Amino acid sequence: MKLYTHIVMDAHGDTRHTFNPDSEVEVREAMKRFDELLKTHVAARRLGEGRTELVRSFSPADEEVLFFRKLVGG
Amino acid sequence: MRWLAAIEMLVPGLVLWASFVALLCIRDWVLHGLAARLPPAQNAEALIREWLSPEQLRDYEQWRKFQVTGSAGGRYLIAPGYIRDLDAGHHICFVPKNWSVLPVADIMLARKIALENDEGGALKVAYRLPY
Repeated sequence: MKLYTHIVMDAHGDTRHTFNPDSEVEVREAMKRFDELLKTHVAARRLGEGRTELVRSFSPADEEVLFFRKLVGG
Repeated sequence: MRWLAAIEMLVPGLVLWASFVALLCIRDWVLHGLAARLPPAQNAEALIREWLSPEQLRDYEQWRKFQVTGSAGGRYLIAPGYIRDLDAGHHICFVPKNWSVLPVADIMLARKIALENDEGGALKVAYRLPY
C-alpha cells in the first residue's frame, strides 16, 4: 500500500502528513487539511526532473504535495 | 620617507580591519556549520535535493546556488542569501511569511517553485534592491 504525502515547510524543516488514497476516511481528512492549509500556504506538486506545478484544489491522485507559507517581500 | 611614514600610520588600521573581517568570517563559518547540523536543516536539505532538477542539483551541490527560469521567461540565480535577476542585473527578495523559522534550503526551494510557476506573482511581492 502506497501512502500519499502532504509536506508542510515549518520550523522542523518540514512536517509530513501521510494518507492512504484508498481510504475514504483518510482522503476526507486529507482534503480537509489541504483546504485549511491553502488559506495560508502555497501548494505545489512535483512532476519529476525538477518540474513542479502549483495546486489550487485537492486531488486524491497527487502523491506528494508541498506547502509553504504565502510569499512576502523580504 | 614621507610615504614610509604614511604606510606606518596605515598598517595598524589595516590590521584592525583585517582582524574584524576575519572574525566575521569565522563567526559565519561557525554559525553556518552549526545550523547545517541541526535536524531541521538536514530535513530541508533532503527536501530540496528531491525537488531540484538534475542541473540545479549539480550546481547546488557544487556552489550552493542554482539557476531557475521563471514562468514568464526571466532568469534568476537563487543563492542562500539572495535572488539575482540575471536579466535585469539586480537583486530581488521575497520569502515565505514564516521565513524566520525556516531553514535556508526551504526558503530557496520555495523561491524556485514560486518563480518557476508564478513569476509575475512572485515579482509583485518581491522587493527590488538597487544593486
